[in-house]
Amino acid sequence: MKRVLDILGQGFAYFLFALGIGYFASQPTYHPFADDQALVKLAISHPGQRKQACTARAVDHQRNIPKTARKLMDCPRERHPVTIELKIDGKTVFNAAAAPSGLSSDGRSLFYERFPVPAGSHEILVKLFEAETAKGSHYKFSQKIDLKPGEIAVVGFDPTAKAIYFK
Amino acid sequence: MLNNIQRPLQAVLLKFEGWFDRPFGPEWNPLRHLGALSFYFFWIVAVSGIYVYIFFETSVTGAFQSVESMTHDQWYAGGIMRSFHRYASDAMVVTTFIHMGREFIMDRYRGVRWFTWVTGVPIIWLLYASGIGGYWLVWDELAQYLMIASAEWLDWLSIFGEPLANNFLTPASFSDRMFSLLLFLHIAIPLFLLIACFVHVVKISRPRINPPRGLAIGTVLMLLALSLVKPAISHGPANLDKVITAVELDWYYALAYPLFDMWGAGALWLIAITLSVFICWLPWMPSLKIKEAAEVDNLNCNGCSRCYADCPFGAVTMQPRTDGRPYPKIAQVDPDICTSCGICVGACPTSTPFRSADMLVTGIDLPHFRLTELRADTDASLAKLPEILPPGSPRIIIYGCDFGIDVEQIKDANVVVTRLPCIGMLPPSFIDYILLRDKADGVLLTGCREGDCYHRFGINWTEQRLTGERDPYLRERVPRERVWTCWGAVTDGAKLSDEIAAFTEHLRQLPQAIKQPGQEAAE
Repeated sequence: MKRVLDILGQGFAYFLFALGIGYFASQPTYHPFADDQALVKLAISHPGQRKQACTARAVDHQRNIPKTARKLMDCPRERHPVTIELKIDGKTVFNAAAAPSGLSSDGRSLFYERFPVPAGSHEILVKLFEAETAKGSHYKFSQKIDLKPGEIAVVGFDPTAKAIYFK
Repeated sequence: MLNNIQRPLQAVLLKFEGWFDRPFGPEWNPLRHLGALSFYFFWIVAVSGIYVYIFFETSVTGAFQSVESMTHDQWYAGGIMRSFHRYASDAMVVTTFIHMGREFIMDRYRGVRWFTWVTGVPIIWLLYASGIGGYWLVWDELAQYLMIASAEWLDWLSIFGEPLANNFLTPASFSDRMFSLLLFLHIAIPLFLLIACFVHVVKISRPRINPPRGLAIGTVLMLLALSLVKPAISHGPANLDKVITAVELDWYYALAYPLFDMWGAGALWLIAITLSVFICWLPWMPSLKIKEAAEVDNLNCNGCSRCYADCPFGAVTMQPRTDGRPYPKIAQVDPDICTSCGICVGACPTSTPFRSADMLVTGIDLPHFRLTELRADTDASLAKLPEILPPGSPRIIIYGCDFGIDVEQIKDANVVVTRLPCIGMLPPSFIDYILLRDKADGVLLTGCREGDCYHRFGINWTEQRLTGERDPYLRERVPRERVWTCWGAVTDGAKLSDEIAAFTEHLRQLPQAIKQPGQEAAE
């Protein structure tokens, strides 16, 4: 009799364990995003302008360098931070500068931001500054968009076309 | 402070464990095999993963369909294997965390155990990386949600040339090459997890990495039943043009993701790193005060290796002898990993109280509680018996350890007690010494609960010595009916009282005098 009770007790313990595993493996349902919203993603990787322009190297200086290592131009690698300003329906939702990546600060400035917006029509304005913002934007993009619930729209930069795009 | 936290938790845990002891028995109690169960779940995940991999297609467009096909078209094999893969992974998280919590509550993470404790932290990181990586591969809506959130979380560190999340901007940006990388990670990280598990137990002597057979069978049957009743299924296929609005999260692995959504990547990194550092720091908060390590007496050590075989932490090693004595080896104690439990003293064949010298010297001894003190304590306790003994009552001496039932609370008139660091420290010759010289009518040994010795093997070795399975064994001339054992935790005082009453009654039924060797022949 005790053996039967032991087996029943073990079965009950296994049942409780399985219940806990089975339930929390998928429940309760989580809602990371409201059903009536859409998402605008700003995903741009863009290099800023070089801080200093290239300069020609002096001929005398070249003489002391092996032929294989000679360069005509001296180009400092460091770049300016890139600044992006994003307005949705006239309201600035993002305005920040990103430092150049890389140990020598010569890489691209990276932007990745998410902006939940209500589904529907929106006016989007994007400005990208490759150097100081005071000198004016280098790239500008504006478009009226219509987003369905749950739709993801991406603001990016096409390096071939050299233009900000929206899709 | 630490005691105030641990004591009440211990009471709850021990109560809970006691309930499990009833149906499972001490040998199969799952709460005493949490580490072994975690290992076992790992192997189930590995085997089921290999099966699932055979039918898995490593591509963005083919992954979802191949998983769907094995789940539905091949539900009796692939579907069950997939469910095993998922549920065993979940079970591994559960047993790992309970294992960690239990070791903390039972104060088995400080002192020499710090290494095992600290190496458990990377195991948790690798466990999560393995599990979450598995969800990505299904490439359904849940995978999409977890993948993008994971990428955004990692991108916060700014260690990648391009944000990882850029790979998941649009359906076109997610390539098969990236998918192959995810699959590679899901194979490589579990391999690192296995290595981490090996490191976790490397400093433990005889680690228990396999659960008892009964528990192993029961666990597989449980997983099978769960897989049949609630098979693991996918969400809808991933669509990077759409945002995920509802997911049935696996909360064992994805608990942090809602926190990520609420607080952001920086806060989650802060929590994860702070928590990891805090857990690693726990063994020194405060550190365990360890008494002096065991010492080897060169003149009395004959290199028999019994202490080496019995040491639960591998602190004793056998080294070539250099002192000219006619034995090839000598024991050597590593003081950094010795817990001063005294099990080595109990294992030493020279640890005998029969020697007439005032100062007992044994091959290996504890500086803070020498064998000679154990004999003196025993004699002092036994000397009290005639004074307190009610007429006709059997005389009992109890040996109790510092971590099991609190023997000091025993107030029975016919009982005296002697404490020692671990019951495994008691050489069987002490029982012989007491009964042979008629110093008491019975000897009762207590310690921690079965399968849960604080010093790991104190109870096992003691029982094996009593039954003659392990050296040094209790001599055959000792009347076994006068030796009783009662294993229990610090909260099991009532159990000991019941056992004392039963032992007293049992001894009353026996002939009063203990026959001495040769006495029967003379009669």
